[in-house]
Amino acid sequence: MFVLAEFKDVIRTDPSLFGLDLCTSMKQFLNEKFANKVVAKVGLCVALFDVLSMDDSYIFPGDGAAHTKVEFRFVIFRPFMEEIIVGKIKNCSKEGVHITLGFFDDIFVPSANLQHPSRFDEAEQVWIWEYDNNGDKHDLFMDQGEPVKFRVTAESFVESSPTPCPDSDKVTEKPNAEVPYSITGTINEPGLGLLSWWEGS
Amino acid sequence: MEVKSDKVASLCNREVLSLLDELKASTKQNVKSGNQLATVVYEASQYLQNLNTGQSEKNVTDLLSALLQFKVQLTYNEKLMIVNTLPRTSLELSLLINNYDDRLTEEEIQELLDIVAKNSPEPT
Repeated sequence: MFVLAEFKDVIRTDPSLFGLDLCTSMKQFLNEKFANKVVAKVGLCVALFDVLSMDDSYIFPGDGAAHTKVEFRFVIFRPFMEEIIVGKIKNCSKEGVHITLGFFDDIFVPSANLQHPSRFDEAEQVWIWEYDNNGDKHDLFMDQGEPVKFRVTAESFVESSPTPCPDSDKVTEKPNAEVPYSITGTINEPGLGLLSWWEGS
Repeated sequence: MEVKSDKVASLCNREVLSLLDELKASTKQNVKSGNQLATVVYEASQYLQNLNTGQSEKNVTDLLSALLQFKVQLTYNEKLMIVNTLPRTSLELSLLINNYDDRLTEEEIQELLDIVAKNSPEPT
């Protein structure tokens, strides 16, 4: 579920930080810059793993800051295809079930990938698996907050670039509807779905 | 910023949790570091703690070396998932292993489950 990725970047160190050890301030800066951000085609950055190499620092005319080329490795959340992960149900909608891992929310199981046959209860806003045990029917509810096991089937990265504001007077920041990194899952296999469904087996 | 490689290695959950714990301990002194880091570190370690109750680093290395010696070759990802999820039943194991029925006999399944159980922490 987690991998290491290698990056290369030029980091600007402000003169006010020259009193600190360059390595320490660099680590702090890299963590601030990347932690909890999605890098396209790489995944969700969690925390700095280590700094591989640091070149000499340069000071450019007109700027007192030091610019340092640095190579480093970051811990990335990026499940591989077909990986089995346990999460919690965030909510159910008519389209399917949303699953959260706490630090990562954008996991979706579309209704076609639920256990078959399932139906959606409009009143309670919950998906129900109509489990058929040789004619003995059971309704198995997918309640919010329940731990759920799913298989990763697809991922998608959306490049979100800063869009120019058409009306410069309106500087209202609209909530970013684009999800940079989302995962699609399935629970349509024996053993997948709510953990409590399979406890006895 | 340049991505040199999007995957140098895989990390198992235990490794990530150790790393995050270390980080949490070290950032306590300098509270200045951004809250984004604090958020993701806290939430991720919370998630991992809820998953793996008490798996130690020795458990992981022992389990991995036992899996390497297992007579049926498992793929890298299969071993990674076994270490991360610690299957206790054959049903759980069947999810992790591709072509489960063809590759493993019933005795081998039981053997594999025994290996996992032997190298897991006691369920609390």
